[in-house]
Amino acid sequence: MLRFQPVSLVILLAGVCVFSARAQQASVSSGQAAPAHPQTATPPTSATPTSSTPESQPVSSPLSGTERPQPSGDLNHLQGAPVASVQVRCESIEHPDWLEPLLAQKPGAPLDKYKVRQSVQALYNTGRFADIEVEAERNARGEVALVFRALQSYFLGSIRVEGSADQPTGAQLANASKLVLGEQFTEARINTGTASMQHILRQNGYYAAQIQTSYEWDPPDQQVRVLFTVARGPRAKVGVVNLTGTPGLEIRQFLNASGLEPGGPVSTAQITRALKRLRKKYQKDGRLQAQVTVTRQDYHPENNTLDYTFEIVRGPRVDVRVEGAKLRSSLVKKFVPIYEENALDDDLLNEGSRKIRDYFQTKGYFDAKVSFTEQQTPAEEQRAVVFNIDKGDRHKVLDIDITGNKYFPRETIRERIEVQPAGGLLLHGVFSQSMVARDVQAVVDLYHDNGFLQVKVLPKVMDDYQGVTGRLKVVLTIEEGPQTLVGKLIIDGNSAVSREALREIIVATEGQPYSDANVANDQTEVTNYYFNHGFPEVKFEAAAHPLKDTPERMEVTYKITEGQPVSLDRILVSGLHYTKPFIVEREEDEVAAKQGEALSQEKMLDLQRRLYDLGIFNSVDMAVQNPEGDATRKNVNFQIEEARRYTFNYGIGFEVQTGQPTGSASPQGNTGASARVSFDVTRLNFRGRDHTITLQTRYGNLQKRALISYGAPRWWDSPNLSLSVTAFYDDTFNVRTFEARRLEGSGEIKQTLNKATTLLYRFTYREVSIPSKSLMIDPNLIPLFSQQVRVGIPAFTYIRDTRDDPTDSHKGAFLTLDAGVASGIFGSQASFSRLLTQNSTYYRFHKKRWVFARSTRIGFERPFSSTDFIPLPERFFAGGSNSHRGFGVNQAGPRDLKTGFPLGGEAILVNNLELRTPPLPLPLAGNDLSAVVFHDMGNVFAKAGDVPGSFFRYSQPHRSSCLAPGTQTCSFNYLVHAVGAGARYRTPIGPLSLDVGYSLNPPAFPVSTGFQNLRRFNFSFSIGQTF
Amino acid sequence: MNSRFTVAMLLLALPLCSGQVVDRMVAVVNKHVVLQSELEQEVRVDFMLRGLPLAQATTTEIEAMLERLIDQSLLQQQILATTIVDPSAEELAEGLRKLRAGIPGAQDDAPWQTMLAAYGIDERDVEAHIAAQLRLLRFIDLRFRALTRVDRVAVTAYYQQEFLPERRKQGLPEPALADVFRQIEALLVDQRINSLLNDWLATLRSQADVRKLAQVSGLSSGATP
Repeated sequence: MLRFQPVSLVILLAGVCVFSARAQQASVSSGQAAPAHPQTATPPTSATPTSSTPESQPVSSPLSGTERPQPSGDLNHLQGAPVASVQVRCESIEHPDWLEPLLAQKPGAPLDKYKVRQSVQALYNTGRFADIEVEAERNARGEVALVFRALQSYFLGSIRVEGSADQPTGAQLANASKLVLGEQFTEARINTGTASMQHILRQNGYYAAQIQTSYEWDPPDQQVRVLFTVARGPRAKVGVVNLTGTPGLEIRQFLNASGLEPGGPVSTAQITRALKRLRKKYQKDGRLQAQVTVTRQDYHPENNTLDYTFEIVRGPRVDVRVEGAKLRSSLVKKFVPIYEENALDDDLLNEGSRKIRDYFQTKGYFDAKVSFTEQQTPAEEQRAVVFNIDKGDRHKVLDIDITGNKYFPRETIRERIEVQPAGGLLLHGVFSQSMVARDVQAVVDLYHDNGFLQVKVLPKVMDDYQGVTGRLKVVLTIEEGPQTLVGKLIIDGNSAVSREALREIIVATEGQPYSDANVANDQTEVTNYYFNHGFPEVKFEAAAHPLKDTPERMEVTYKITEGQPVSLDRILVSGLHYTKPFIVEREEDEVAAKQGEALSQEKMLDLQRRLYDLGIFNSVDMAVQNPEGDATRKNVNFQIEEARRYTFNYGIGFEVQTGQPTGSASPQGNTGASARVSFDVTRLNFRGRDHTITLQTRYGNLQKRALISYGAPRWWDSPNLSLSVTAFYDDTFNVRTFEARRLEGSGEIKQTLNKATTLLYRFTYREVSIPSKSLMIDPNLIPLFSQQVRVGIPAFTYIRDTRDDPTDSHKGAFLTLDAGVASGIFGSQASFSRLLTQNSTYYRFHKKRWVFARSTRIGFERPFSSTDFIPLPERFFAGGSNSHRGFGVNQAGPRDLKTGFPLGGEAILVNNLELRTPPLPLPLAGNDLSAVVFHDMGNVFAKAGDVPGSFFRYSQPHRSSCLAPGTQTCSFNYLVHAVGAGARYRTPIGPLSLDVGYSLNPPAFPVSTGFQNLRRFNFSFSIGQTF
Repeated sequence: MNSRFTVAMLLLALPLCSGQVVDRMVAVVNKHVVLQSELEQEVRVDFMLRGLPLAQATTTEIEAMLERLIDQSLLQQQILATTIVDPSAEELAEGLRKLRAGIPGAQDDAPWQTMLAAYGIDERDVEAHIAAQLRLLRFIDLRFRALTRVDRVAVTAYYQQEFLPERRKQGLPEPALADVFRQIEALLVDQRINSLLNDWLATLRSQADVRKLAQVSGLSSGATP
């Protein structure tokens, strides 16, 4: 008989082992200690929200922790007893009836302990309960009344950190805690989160930091709001710095090189910076493999210092050379990754070779070959890497030909190809073998996505094409093969959503191309649809196989497993201190997030976005409470952080252009810059609403302004109406002729009809004065133009804006129509009507890369009643970067015939035509630099009636008599034409624009010393497109 | 023991006048709940299979059983929804037959039922126990056996370093390697599977959220045979 050493085969399965060896003992060693019961922290059992700290509140749950009683009966012995009733009881859940369908043990049926266990599991799976006990009570008939007594779980309703204003900020610490809003509260999670925050604090030098945790329990909503209060204490200081390894530096040299200073504050950023500086230093010495690490940090609480031990292995000197061609050392560093990686191996050198080869190929050396050799001299700790470059002949890509394509036009394929033929600024074209390979893959992907599963793309590169040395032609021959279409679509497993509804969002329906991309797209669409209709557990499986008789037709089956629908219970908002709750509730109503409705991901995201858009919150975090539970009704948490109510902005700016009015007595002004400083105060969340009060001040050569405004969006609780009231004092010198001092108050109602159309109803009341000392025009006109004028003018503006991007438009149209009447009825001292309209349109062409833009502005003013003039500040002026670039700022139109200064007019006509190029392929500019060429035409006219006659007039009428000495008549009734060009540099706030305009027919005008011609060349520098 | 059983029966016969706790959660393994009644049932089945009186069930043994149930739960969660390891009705019946054959006096129905009643369980509980064990065994076999290879060198080493010295020590004849090769190979495979399983369980434990809600104590009143 054989006997072996005793072996506990699968020691876990003691019972099974009994089959063969009854005496064999089971022995399972316990793993790690299980975490403590979560409710030993502090959750209360009363239904009233309470606050507590872990130290202050005793365990109060009869079900929690070690105080839980041992069962006094045994479920096993109630097996088969008749069950009279089954109930769920939980103090915090007022109506637990919705839980009873989850119970497998039903009243009226004999007690089945397996079903009772299933019931407990089902209740626990909802995630709403931390502990469940089963109680039984017999009645006189011997029946059992079963009660599932449950203790609620708590979920994180908000996670806030206070007491750490700067690095690391409260938000950074909250992030480091890894606590997730809405997740179940457990003491272990809180402890882990606290430890993570302590770690971050230590990294930033706060070794003595204390974190106090306090809780605000909210039993009705099953949530706990956690507040971590951080007392950071003093920051540790750098103590002793030790060096190990082969640094090759004295400690003083090391400290100088690293920037570390004993006694200086400890921070992660400082250590990171020190490591970076040291690596850079070693790299500068040619030690590209230098390894610098911090191996020890020893904290000394007695003097709050931290000792560092650095280990440095400086490695050999590596000399990288390039032979066979010239390559700037900065490019070598860019292409060869050993500098970035601080390592030297064949993989990195091979990558460097490939990048150098690609670089030369893009320069026209398409046959470039790059190899490398390594040499090492161990005694001298020297290594040399030599890249050998054989550039070969220079080529030029003459043409790229695409053949065999039937389904897609050439342009569609061409858009996906990186290889570029020579032309324009690309003297040799763009070509490399790896580029061709990528292009082939891009074209294959295009065909695959459209059902051409057997497509082949064969590249052919013809060198010395047509017998000319160095000329290349690239031919891509496409064999499309048959297109696979969907022959039959089967949707299975859907019950809550009809097939018809699903088919509307599915791409791969009968007759459509079959591709993996379409199936993946359908999966995303269908699952999103379900997510948005309250099915967070939806699963989607796709299968496809060719139809029997038609292999080019696929039978596609989408199997949907919907899962349990989840409805919205309540939206729980935390973090509102100043904001009135109705502001948030109003947005909830807007997105129709109602209790009992399907929990929609889309609606919750929409609500989050709307709350952000109010502009009064810094952050809005949203999470579903109890995300892992199977509960069919769930709360959603919104943790809000209100923005600071007061913000202060200050700045300095300047404008550069021709025609600056200040600092010169010249009617045309100077060319130069005008400085400006600004200081703004904004008060958000005014009266606990999304209303804003703003004070803006400007002080500059051109403008001095103090403005106060009040903005109330959603006026009368309508999402389409907003009210703004503004009052300001403004001292403007942007018209060369005069300086206007304006005191203005206005109220405006904005009505948004739809996304594109807006109406403005405005009443403006202003008083404008012109200091006589600033008036540059003929004194005879005083007081006609310079007298103080009060204007009250109601106005109406219609705006229709369908542009893709208002700051840099490529398509769409922009139309405004502004009309107003100033009259004594409104308290106005001058009576006139005003109409100004602008129409701009934008067209993309040539692969949608070029843009043609046009704009026309026409405006008329007309005095009436006893008024026979329009006050100077109310008149139209034109000229400059935003209107007519053939003029300096506001230099267009009639002028004072004695001094030559512009007077503005009662009519304006400006037309702009502009051609905008795609990004220019220039070095360093990336895709950010483009150019424009333009033609501007127009002028300002003294009277509206002067416009029609001027329309086809190219030159200034009666120019010679105008320039005669002592003349009293001069006409400016003609259209000034200007052509020019400009550059646009794309920035996040809109393109920076530099325009140079050349006036083809500038006007001449008399001045006191003779006459002047307006300058032909004008330039302007601004942000944003001209129109 | 008889007097204890009588007392237990009397206790059972008493009506549960006011609501009494008859079951509660003792542990949660990820999201799977382990109940007191489940733990007790496993202890009773285990003691019956080992032929031990329930009176000998100490807190330590009950705690050890809880740990075993936690491990079993971790493994069950790995099996997920697959049904390929589920035993058939015939396999269950065969398992029960073998089990009864291994327990003295359990072959006949009457003493078998008496024994079950004495341990406070019924045949369904034993079947559930067998089904769970069969599923786990199959799953472990599927997962690990394919990964476990024992070569000739290992078998020979065991033969020379472990097997023969033990035989000599006991004064037993020494069979040739070829005669015991398969048995040693099977033994080494089992050892290897056991080692892999223990490692895997340790990993599962470290990744799991295991929560024990209270210290376990003795078995419930009225349950002592």
